[in-house]
Order: sequence, then structure tokens, then C-alpha cells
Amino acid sequence: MTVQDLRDVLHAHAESPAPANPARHEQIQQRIRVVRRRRRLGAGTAVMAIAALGFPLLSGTAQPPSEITVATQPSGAPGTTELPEKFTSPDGTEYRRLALTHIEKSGSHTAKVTIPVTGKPLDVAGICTSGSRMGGSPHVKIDGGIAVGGGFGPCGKEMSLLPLTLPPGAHDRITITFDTKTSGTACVRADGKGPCEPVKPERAAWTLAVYEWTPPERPVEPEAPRDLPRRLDGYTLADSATGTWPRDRSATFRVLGDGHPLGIDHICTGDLADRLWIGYRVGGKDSPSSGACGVWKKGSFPMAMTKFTVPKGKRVTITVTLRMSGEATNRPVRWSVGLFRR
Amino acid sequence: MADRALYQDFVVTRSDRLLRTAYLLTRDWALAEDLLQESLTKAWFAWARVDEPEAYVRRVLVTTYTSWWRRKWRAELPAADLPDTPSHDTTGRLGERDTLWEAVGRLPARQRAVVVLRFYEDLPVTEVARLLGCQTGTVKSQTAKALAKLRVDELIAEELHR
Repeated sequence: MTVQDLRDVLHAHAESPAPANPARHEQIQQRIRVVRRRRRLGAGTAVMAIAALGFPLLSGTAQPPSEITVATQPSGAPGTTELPEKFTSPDGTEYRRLALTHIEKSGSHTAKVTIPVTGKPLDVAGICTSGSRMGGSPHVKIDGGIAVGGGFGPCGKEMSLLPLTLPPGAHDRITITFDTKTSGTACVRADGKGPCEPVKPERAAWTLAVYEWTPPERPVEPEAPRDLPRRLDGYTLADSATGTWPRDRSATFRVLGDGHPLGIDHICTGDLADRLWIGYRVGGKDSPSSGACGVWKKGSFPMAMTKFTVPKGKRVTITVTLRMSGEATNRPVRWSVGLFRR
Repeated sequence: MADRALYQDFVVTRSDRLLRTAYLLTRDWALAEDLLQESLTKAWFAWARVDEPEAYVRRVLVTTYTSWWRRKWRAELPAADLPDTPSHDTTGRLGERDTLWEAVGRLPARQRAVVVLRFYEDLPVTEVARLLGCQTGTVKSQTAKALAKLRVDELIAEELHR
């Protein structure tokens, strides 16, 4: 094996599909609140120092967007056909486009659309029309403030849909901002010496849209998930549970620890499968680990195993909880959760 | 000094890349998410003093990961040494690269961090040393030990000293 093999192996695993986390923003906010509370209890002076900063927690970008595009866009632009005016998803949900816009590889990083609030569920859609996989993806804000959780991920040639949850108090119209601006800085020293040269952020072109959708009149049951693998990365499938959200919102495993690690992994089917969020409670305590349900359509199993250690001889109950991100009326998700033992 | 107002943008735009680094360290997407969020939370409180946010968060990511490993309250317990006789997958389906990936997972935390930073992030020795808070000689020796454990061909000597 060569160093290049090592590089290839690391890249192959790192670039595999990562589970989306639409709740990351909220989860970090929660962690910050917990730390602040802890510090407040520990040292009153620390509280004063943090408060004196005077910044709103996780406030938005300081710079106003430089370009406003209001709910219209010329037809025939790249990506327009992939984000059609209307389409019906496999479960029968009818999508209708309310707004369409673009962000090019050069020029403005932002685009804005203003849409009417109709009361129907909303999704934002994005497709990368040109650029490398590492090209920045847009993040989404509503009325300049609250950010939509998750993101479109790396520059991909297939349409991605994200749920758009309106902030309280949104009435007639809302303005949605798409922004590909990056604010992080990175630098490298090419020869190990000399100055650290800034890395130029890569850009990609995106076509973006906002859709409202009308759910099917009745729940449409997705196909059953594929069988979980019997062996996975040195673990063996020991138990499993299946169900259909929203009817089944949890699964319970009672295990006797043998001193070896346990793992839990999951796959889901349904048009909203990747919006089903999996959390864990082990021995009565919430686990900090959570993740979006895996979708296994082709290729190898989308492994995202969460591992636990149960001391030898100890009995614990592992509860797996399932929560949907965004609206999902009549759009059930079938799930399969496996308990693996090493 | 980083503008605190840009913290959220940083989280949105850089999380994906940092999550992948975290995954290579933890080999568990859920743990990687946990590690990323822990690091970003720490970064938020230091944000006003940070000059290079990405380098800073990467450093926090690595040091948090190694401290988790030291405390051993995480599920993963990599072995310090590989067995003399490599174990084989009973199904016989694992290729050489799968074996290499498994071997990376058995590296001790510090060596795994060095491998990820050098061969995934492609950082030079001096930058890795700065991130890990150690001497460049330490990075070189940790790299050499890790490659030996991984049984990676060390013919490309300059890889170790670049």
C-alpha cells in the first residue's frame, strides 16, 4: 500500500454522503445556552462579560445582500427545467413553484425572492448548475433572520428539497434570501515555510426555487425498507425493529451488556425519508448523538452507526425516537432500525 | 479578529467540510456531528479573539477529539498496536483498501489525527504541529509510526518531511 492509497481511502470515506442535519443550527444554539447557563451559575462576572458583547446570539450576516430578485426569472436558464413549474412526487404530493432565481459563479453571492404566504407547506429547492463538488452551497434565511436548518450540501446535479418552516408572525408575504457567501478563512503553507496563503473559496452556480405543496388526500404508504445488512463494519445484526412514522414514533431494545460495543443504524423509505430525525435514549439518559435517517436506494449501505458501550452484565433499555423535520401531512415514512453487536 | 456576526455564516458554509474531518476522526457520523457541534460551540465563545476561524475550529475539533479519547467515555477504544498477524474478514470480501480503513480506525487518537490532517487535509508538517500544539519532530515521528502500523509503503520519504 502506498501513501496515495491512504489518501484515496480517506477521501473515499470522507466524501461519502453525510447525513443531513437540519437541526444543527438549533442544536448549537441550545449548546451555547447550556454553556452560558453553566457559566452563569459558576461565575457571575463571566455572565456580565458575555452580555457586554452586545451581540444577538447567532445573528445573521452583517452585510446586506447586494441584489434583489423578486419571484421571477427568465425561462430557459440553466437548471430551470430541473426545477419545473409543477411536478408530482412519487407519493402523489403536488408541488407548485412560487419563485425561481439563480446565483451565478461570479457576481452577487445572494438572491432574494418574495412569496405570498398561502398556508400550504413550503419547500426550497436547489440544483447546482455548474461548479466543482467543493463549490459553496447556498444557505437560506427567511425575512433576513431565521435560517433554515441544514443546507443543500455539496454542488450536486440533482434537485435537493429542504423544508421551509415559517417564523411565528409570518402573514402575507415573506422574503427568502439565498446566500452562497462564505465567511471562514483558511490558509496553507505550500512548502511548510513562508507565509500562510489564503485558500480561495470555490464558487458554484445554483438555480433555486420555492415550492408550495399539496399533500396527497390520504396517506401513501412507502415501500418497505431493504433488509438491514447482517454484518456491518465488524458488527453483527442482533435485533431490529420496523415501523411507519407517524404511527410508530419509537422503538425499544432491551439489551444485556457483554462488554463489547453496540451499534444502532437505520434506513427509511418514503419521499421525506431523509427528514426523519433519529434520537436515542440509553438507560434513561438522552444521548447527544442523533442523525437523519439513512436512505438506501443503491450502492453500499449508507452506514451511520451510532455506538454505545454497555458494561458487561448490565441491562439497559435503548429507546430510539423518531421526529420529523418540517410538515409531513399524509406523507408517512417507513423505517427500519437495527441493533448491532460487535 | 473574526466578526461575530459572521459566525452563523461560518457554521452554515464550513460545517460540511469540518464534519467530514470529524467523521474521519470518529468514524461515526453521529459522533462526528456531536464533535462538530461541541467544537463550534467552543468557537462561539472565543469568536471575538479568533483570527483564522477555520484553523481555530479545526484545532478545537482535534483537541476535543483527543480529549474524548483520553477520557475513554466514548464507545470507541482503538488499540495502541495492531496484532502481529492481521485478522481477516471471515467473508473474505474486504479488499486491501477496506483493510487499510479498518487499520486507520485502530490507530491511537493522536496518530489518527496526524494521519487525517496530513493525508486528508493535506496540511504541511508545520501546520499540523501548530494545530496539535507540538513540535514538527513529533508530527514526523507520529506520522512514521502511524504509517508503519498501517503498513503503508514508506518509499516516498519526502512525504514524511514535507
